This record gives sequence, structure tokens and C-alpha cells, in this order.
Amino acid sequence: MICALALAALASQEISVGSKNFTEGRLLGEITTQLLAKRTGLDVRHRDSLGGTMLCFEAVRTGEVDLYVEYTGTAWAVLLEQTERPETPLRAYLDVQHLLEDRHDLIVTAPFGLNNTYALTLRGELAREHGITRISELGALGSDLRAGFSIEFSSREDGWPGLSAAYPELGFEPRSIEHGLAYEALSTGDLDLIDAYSTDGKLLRYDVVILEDDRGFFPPYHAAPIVHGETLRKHPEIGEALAELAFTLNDEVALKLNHRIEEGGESFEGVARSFLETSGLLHPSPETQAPANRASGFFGQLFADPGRLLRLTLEHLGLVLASVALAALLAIPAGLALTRYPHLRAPVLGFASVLQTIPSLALLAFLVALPFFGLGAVTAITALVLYAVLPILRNTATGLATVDPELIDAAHGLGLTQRQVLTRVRLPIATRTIVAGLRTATVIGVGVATLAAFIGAGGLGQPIVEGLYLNDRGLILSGAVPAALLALCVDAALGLLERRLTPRGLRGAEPSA
Amino acid sequence: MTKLDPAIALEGVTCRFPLPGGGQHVALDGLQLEVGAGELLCLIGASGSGKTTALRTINRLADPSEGRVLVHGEDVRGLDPVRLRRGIGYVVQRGGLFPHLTVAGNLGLLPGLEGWDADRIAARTSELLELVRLPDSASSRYPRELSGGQRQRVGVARALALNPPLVLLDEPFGALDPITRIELQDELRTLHQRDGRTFVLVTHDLEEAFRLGDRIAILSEGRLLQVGSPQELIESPADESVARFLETHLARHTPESGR
Repeated sequence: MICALALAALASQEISVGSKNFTEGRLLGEITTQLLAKRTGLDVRHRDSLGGTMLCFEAVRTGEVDLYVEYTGTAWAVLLEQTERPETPLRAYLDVQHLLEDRHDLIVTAPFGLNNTYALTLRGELAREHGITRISELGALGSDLRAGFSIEFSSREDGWPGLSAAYPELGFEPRSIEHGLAYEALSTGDLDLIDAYSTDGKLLRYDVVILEDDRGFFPPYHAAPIVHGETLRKHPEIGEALAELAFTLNDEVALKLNHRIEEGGESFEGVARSFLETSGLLHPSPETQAPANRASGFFGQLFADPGRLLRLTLEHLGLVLASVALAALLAIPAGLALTRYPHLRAPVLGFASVLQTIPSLALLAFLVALPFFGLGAVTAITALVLYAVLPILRNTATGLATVDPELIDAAHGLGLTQRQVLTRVRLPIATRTIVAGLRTATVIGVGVATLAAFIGAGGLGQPIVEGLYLNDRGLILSGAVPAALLALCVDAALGLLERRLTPRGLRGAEPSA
Repeated sequence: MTKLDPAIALEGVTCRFPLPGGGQHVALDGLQLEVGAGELLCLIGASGSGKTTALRTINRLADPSEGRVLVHGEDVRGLDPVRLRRGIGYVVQRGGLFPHLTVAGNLGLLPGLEGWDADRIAARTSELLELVRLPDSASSRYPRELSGGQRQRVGVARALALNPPLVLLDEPFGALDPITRIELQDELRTLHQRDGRTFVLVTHDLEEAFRLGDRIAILSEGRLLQVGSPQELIESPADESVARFLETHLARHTPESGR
């Protein structure tokens, strides 16, 4: 069976292109995908918005995806953990190329040409008021400056830690915030200073001043595909196709393309295609028109593609139900076993509680990096199982343990065997508590499963994740609202089941836990 | 009363339980007691006297540390506890009815486990309800829909389901109001006289013991103070402590005669 699947996978020659989880990353992924599909004749799939740097890198390193587009500065600082600033952009590119091939058998192909460097952007009004145009001049604002940096920027050596060392006069303490929300906070005046990408399409929309990096701290960030070595050896035609993309984009063009998607509401597919056509890489082909525009607004997004909404909902439900079923298979027998070994109760429940406290994203990122897991449904389900175990286990153990001891004594005294006491008395009385545990686990699961989209497992988290990167509230809601409704429906359905499974003699009575 | 082959014999039974903080609790201390076939024996004593433990050694809910327990002449330790218990009815305080089962479900549980067919179970259920004077309509009700007295009737009926020659009752009427208690005591007496089963009943209520018991065994600190008919106890208490026990617990009691 597995062999057959593997053979089928080989025969279909599927190439998967990953992309980082922000507008430009995804656009470059889409451009690459379209060109490869046209040139190589292979079945090329774009796994868009895969995740942040580490996720994408792990995916290409393990061959989970065949390539993705990375930035030289990021590869230098994050992937290769270099702390010295590269001397020149070319030096950075060559070193990254050399080290990645050496250490990981990853091939960096020719750069796109654009340099999407980090930049600090100040609220326009504030900049004009104090006449600030350079980073070093921020020191004048002292500690009152309200800065919010993306999570990656806050921790990366080529981000705030290095920047604050290069500009020791900066006296403010930045907060970490989701990048997709930063511009909004800047425009409402909640923040004064944020980090940005220099080709960010949103720079054209908001009243911001990009500060000059007057000490030349930020390393260059030239975008270039990183390809899994094995893929390139097997399909040299991919290398040839990627070479065509060399220096086809500069900063201004990239900024405009990003802007068309983020502010103009055009689709990634459409912008990628129009770019490839205007730069002469593809001939205009009217019969395969990509959708020109993204839908807009909450209802627009919600009903733009009912088939997709249904698919995402089913995917979501599938993830949750599969994981709760697996968790029940683990946790209910474990709960039964705990009644036999009561001294194990505290440590086992304690361990399950610890699992529950691991932040979901951290757990996902951790699992993705493990050999067997990688990106996709298996990892998402595993994480969901770990979260579902505790409520089921706790309710099973408590439900069984809190059955009136007099009833158990009576059952033994009447001559029921140990097993009959369990199946005829303890389990039926504990059923309601156990089902309540399943219900809790399922409702939690519907919530946690929205994070599955971060690792490419789909579900209703997908519009949420996309919406965050595109700064599109309608899109976020088009995932969040159905997810919340799904949670309510699932809760109601299981509530019904709970009543059904509760023996009539116990209904109306307080549950035993 | 002539002594036949005793239905139950406790021979030098000592029960020790380890205490959580180390050390031991001695629940029974060399108890010697016989229960005649067809007799209704009341075990009485204050809390901690060991009366409940003594009862539990009979159906092996507790095993003696020393000594042995014979049921119908056989050492219970050689018997499979499940088989032993199915031959001994067991009634606990407040009935111990299974709340998820109807009255019929509770009454039919043991016959079902014994593999009786549905018709036979149904017939036995009506018989049992009649025996404890409950209407047939009660069979479809759940324990929480019954009064305390009705629940206890079902508890007694359930103990009799497999028609055991021996019935153990652990403070069966302790949780009932006085009027219901007396009503059920009278019915238990009638039931006992009709079928000639052996009953062992634990109580802390001396009036109940005098009302019901053919003989009464008074326990204190795991030892037998005296065993005898109500008459014998009143007329010739074995020692000062028995006399005092009777006096304090039976202040307003006038023994019934010619029962």
C-alpha cells in the first residue's frame, strides 16, 4: 500500500514549491510555480504560505518541498547563524550559496534581483514634527517611543538585537507584535515605529517615513530560490527554468506588484501571470485566465467560493474528528488503567496537563522539525491528539473514580466479577462524564485546528493565516467566523449525544465530576 | 432453640488492617460465633465494634488475618468469591441500587448474569416485587424516582433474586424515617418466618435488634460480649458491660414476650 503510494508519487513527478508566509514570499513562490509548470511539464504545486523561515527551511531541507524563495540576509543570519555582517551583497550571496550546499545539499539558484531589506518606518506625523529621517535620530525621542516589531525581527541577530547594538542611543523598549497587524496599529496611532520590508506594498498606503539606515546595519536581502539538491539532480530542467528568473525584478517593481495584491485586491495568480507575461517569460494565453481579483470584505470573502469554504470546513472537521477519535482510543483505556493503579493517577494527569500548557504553535513547530512528521495533516493531527488527551483522560479517570463507593461495594457483595463491576456499574455511571470530556476535547480541537494552516494542513485556519499576511480583516473573519460557528455546532451536537448516552436514571442529576 | 448444623461459623476470626501512617487497626479480635440455619441473628455494637467487618468476612468482602469462616460447613477461603456471593444475598444501607438501571434492571441483573432467559427473569421480577409488596408498575421506574422505603424494599428484593439460603444485611434500615423503619422491620420478620432463610443483620439500634433478632450478638472492640435471645440478655447479662449497654440503649424498652 505504502509502496504503491510511493510509486504513484514518483510516477506523477510532483514538484512542490513552498513559500514564506507574507505577500512577497507567496508572490515569488507563485511566479516560480507558474514558470516551472510551463517550462518543465512537471506537475508543479504551490504550497503557499507554508510558514516562517524555520518551517520553510526545514521543509526544503527534508525534501518535504522541493524549493522555496529565501532572502540572502535571512539565510546568512538565521539559517547559517553567522553574526558578522557580510562585506558586500555579492559576498553574502556567494557565502550563503557555498555554505548551504556544503552543509545541507541545498542549491541557491540565481537571485531575482530585488533586495527586500528590513527597514524601520516611523509614523509620518511624528517624523515631520521632529524632523527625523534617519535611524540614529530616533535617540532624540528617548524612551517614550512606542515601537512594535514583528516576532522574527525582535529575536533575529539581523533584527533588533543587532540593531540596538549598532545604534546604542536608542532608548525605547519595543513590543513584539504580529506583523500583519503592525501597519494598522501604526495608522491608528497605537504604535510610532515598526519594522517593515522595503518592498512592502503597504508602504504606499500608509503615511509613514522609511528611516535611512545611516550606519549601514541591515545586511542585503536578495531573494533567490533555494532548491533541494536531489530535486535538481533528478530534474536539471528546473535549474534551467529558474535561471530565466535571474534579475527579472527590482525593488520598485516588487513594491508595485505587492501593492497590487495588498491594496488593489488582485489575486496572486493573476499578478504572477501578468508579471511573467510583461517580462516576456510567458506568452499571454487567454484560455487559462487566472482569477483577476481577490474578493473583498467579509461576506465577499465568505461566499466568494462556497466550494472552497465547504472544503476547508470539511478539512477542519476531519482534522478534529480524527484527532479526538485517536485521543479517545488512547485516553479512555488509559483512564481505565488508572483505576487499577491509583498511585499513577497524579503523575499521568500531571504529564497530560503539561502537554496542554505547551503553546500550540511551539508544539507544531517542534513536531514539524522531527523526522517522521514534517508539514501537513499527520503533524497537525498529532498535535491535536496531544491536546485532546487531557480532557478525555481526566474525565474518564474522574468519572470512574467518583462512582459512589457504596455502589461498588454493593456490586461486589452481590457477586459481580471485577470486570462486571466495571462494565455494568462503573462505566455506565461514568459515561456522561466521559462524553463531557470528549465534548470539551472536540471544542478545544476546533479552536486549535485553526493553527494547522500554519503548517500547511489546511482547514479554516487558512483564510485566517492568509488574512493576517495580507492585512485583510474580511479574509480573517471568513475563516474565524465559520470556525466559531463550527465550534458551536459541534458543541451542540455532542451535547445532544451526551444526553442520549446518559442513562435515563442519571439525567437531571448532577454529573459526578 | 436447638442447634442444628450451623449455617455460618466464625472460628477465632481476627482481622487486622494496616493503617496509613503505619501500625495496625484490629477490627476483629478472635471472634467466635455461630449462626444456626434458619436463624435471624442481629449483630449489634457501637461504631468500631467490628460488627460490619464480621458480616463482611462471611461473603469474603473482608478476609480474616487469622481464624476461619465456614459457610454451610465449608471454609470460604477455598471458595471462589463470586460463586460464594451469588449464593448469599447482600443488602446495604440505603439500598445500594444502581442508579442507571430501572427497578427491573436492578432485580434482573444477577439472574441475567447467571444466564436466565428473559421470560424467567420477568417472572422472577414480578415475584420479587410482590414479595416486598411493591406494585408491578414500579419495575420501569428508576431508583431516584422512588422513596427511601421503596428503594430499600427493592434492595431486599434484589438480594433475594437468586433465591439464596443466606442473606446478609448491613444496617438496612439505618437511613429510614422511624415509621417506615418499623413497617419494613415487620415485613422483614414476616419474610424471614415465611421462607426459613438464614439472615444476619448488622445494626446499631438495640430496639431493632430486639424487634427482629432470634438471637442478638453484642460486639465491642472486635470481641463478642454475649450472644443470646433477647430474653436471655435481659435476664442474665454476661457481665457488667453488657448490663450497662442494655441499660443505656434500651431505657424505654419493654421486651415483647411470646413472640
